[in-house]
Amino acid sequence: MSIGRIGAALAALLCFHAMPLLAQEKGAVREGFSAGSLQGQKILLFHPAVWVGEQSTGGMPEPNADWTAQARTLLEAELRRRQNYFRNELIREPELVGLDARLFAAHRALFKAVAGSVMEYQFFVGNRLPTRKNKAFDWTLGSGTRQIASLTGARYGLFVVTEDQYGSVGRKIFQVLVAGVAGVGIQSGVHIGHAGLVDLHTGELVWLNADAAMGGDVRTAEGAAKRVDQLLEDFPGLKTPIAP
Amino acid sequence: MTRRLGLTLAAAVLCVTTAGSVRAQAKPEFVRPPYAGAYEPQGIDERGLWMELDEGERALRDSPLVVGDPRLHDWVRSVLCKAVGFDRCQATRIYLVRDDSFNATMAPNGLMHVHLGLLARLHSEAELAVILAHEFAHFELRHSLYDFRNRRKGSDIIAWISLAGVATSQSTSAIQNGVVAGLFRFNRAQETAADLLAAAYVRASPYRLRASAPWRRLLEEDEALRSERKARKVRRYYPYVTDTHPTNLQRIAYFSVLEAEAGTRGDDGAEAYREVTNAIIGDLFAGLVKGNEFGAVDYVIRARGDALGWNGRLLAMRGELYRSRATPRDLSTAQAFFERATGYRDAPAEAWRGLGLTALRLGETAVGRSALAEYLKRAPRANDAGAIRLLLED
Repeated sequence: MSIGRIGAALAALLCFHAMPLLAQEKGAVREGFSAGSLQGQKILLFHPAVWVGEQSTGGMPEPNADWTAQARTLLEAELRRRQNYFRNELIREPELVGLDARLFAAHRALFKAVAGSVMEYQFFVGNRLPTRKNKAFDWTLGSGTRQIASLTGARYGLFVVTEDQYGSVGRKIFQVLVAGVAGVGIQSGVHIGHAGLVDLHTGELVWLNADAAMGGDVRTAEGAAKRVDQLLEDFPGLKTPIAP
Repeated sequence: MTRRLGLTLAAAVLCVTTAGSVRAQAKPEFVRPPYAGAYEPQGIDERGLWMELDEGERALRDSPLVVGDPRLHDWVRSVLCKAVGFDRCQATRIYLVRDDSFNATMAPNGLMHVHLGLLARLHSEAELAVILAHEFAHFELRHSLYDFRNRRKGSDIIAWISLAGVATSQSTSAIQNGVVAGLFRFNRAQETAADLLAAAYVRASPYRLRASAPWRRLLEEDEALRSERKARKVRRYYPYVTDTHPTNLQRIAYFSVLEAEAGTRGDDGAEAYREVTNAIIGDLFAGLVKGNEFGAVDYVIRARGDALGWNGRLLAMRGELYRSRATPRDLSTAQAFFERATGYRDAPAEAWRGLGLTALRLGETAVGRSALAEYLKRAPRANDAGAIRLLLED
């Protein structure tokens, strides 16, 4: 019952007046990092953040438990299947308790904040900072990641985040009518995601790929495969180039 | 939306009616509805919300913001269980969160946040019981789900109305504002319903109903801050259109009536509250004294001291508050608080630290050095021990 939730409701209402989101995709690799750096190194896959639901007529996100569970299973299976394509061993985040669990939780939150800053202040136009525009891709989670490296034996940490709001029937009808009556385009559906790789020895963010208009229906196996293709686009450690 | 609003109002009225019938019959006061346990969410919306919160709880569980003190946690849980019943309280997980605001929140999947700022401002288990019961009532009445559906319906209506406005070249802002106002009104109705159910729970528990006092103190805290900032004092009975909760005066009014009916029967739990929270005064007030709301925090500390008694820890915190603002007159006041604090057996080492630093600042070198030496003796491994040693070498 917080003010924040009301604010979110109002923000959702404002979506109606918002301009359609421009398709935007961007990736970056830290200077000095290459596929060679990954040679023979273990990669730790952090618990992927997956959210799937619908977008209501008024633009509100509606979470869907079944779709989310299905997408999580499919995406994780797809990532496991890709193990062969990596030059590296991919391990899953261990189930931990106590201080170790806190360490992982803190770094998942930290990645979220840092990746969010990269996308907002460096990657995409809108709120980009003059101090970051056309500057080196130079971001870090700090040296605390070293402890994760020693706990898991992994050299790199891979984070995957996806959010999918499928336009509801109401939203789609509304979209068509708004286009016909008012002559403006409104967005139906939100499909955003990003994936990042962190050097756990230094804490440096060595690769980040973000896409605000992702393809692939994550509720199906083929869609999940396409989504993983897009998430891992430009990933330096892949053996085979990914089809466009 | 109207139907949902109607449902919730009906729920609210039901609670009022329940309370009303209690008045007429005197006993039995309130019979808790039967509790089945292990409730599983139903339908797409509810299952979606639970999924979201379950995932959020995974992150919260291991967050550094959560206070991992099993004794404190068990005590808060025991207060909730006594208030709402030992069967139904099992459906919740309580997380004590380092947050200085007066608040607690309840998620639809049974996740409850209790802020340390809430514990800093309450004075008895009975007061805590009614607030925890309020949060539990949100859970039991499935308020988050109804609120979600209400917001969705409201935003859908606004979307269609604005489109109709564009199609007919008519302004629809008045209707849209009406719908938005309805969303907030719905929220306030839920809060009132939770308040009334909480009061009914507490009346059926071993606790005395002490529901209005915290809201009265919140008003006074706000006025202390406004007075310090030379701002106009605001005492509103009727809420603004965009208020998400009933006003403090409304809550004081309806809780006072219920308290008068309930009488003095029941346990206050002030002694137990004092004992448990005295042990963590440092955690409760550390953030508050570092903040920027001097007048409000001074009121909160004074109110606690006057109600539950002063001790070394609380006096040292008040000294720290004045030392942080650090005008010359604050330093004298702070020094007096630290001096008083050191007279108590439970005085923390920080009392000597504060005393030493203020004395040095006031030019009383001998007093300052001896207090700092005592601080180092009591806390040789303190984070700032090295810096204090350097200060003493000068």
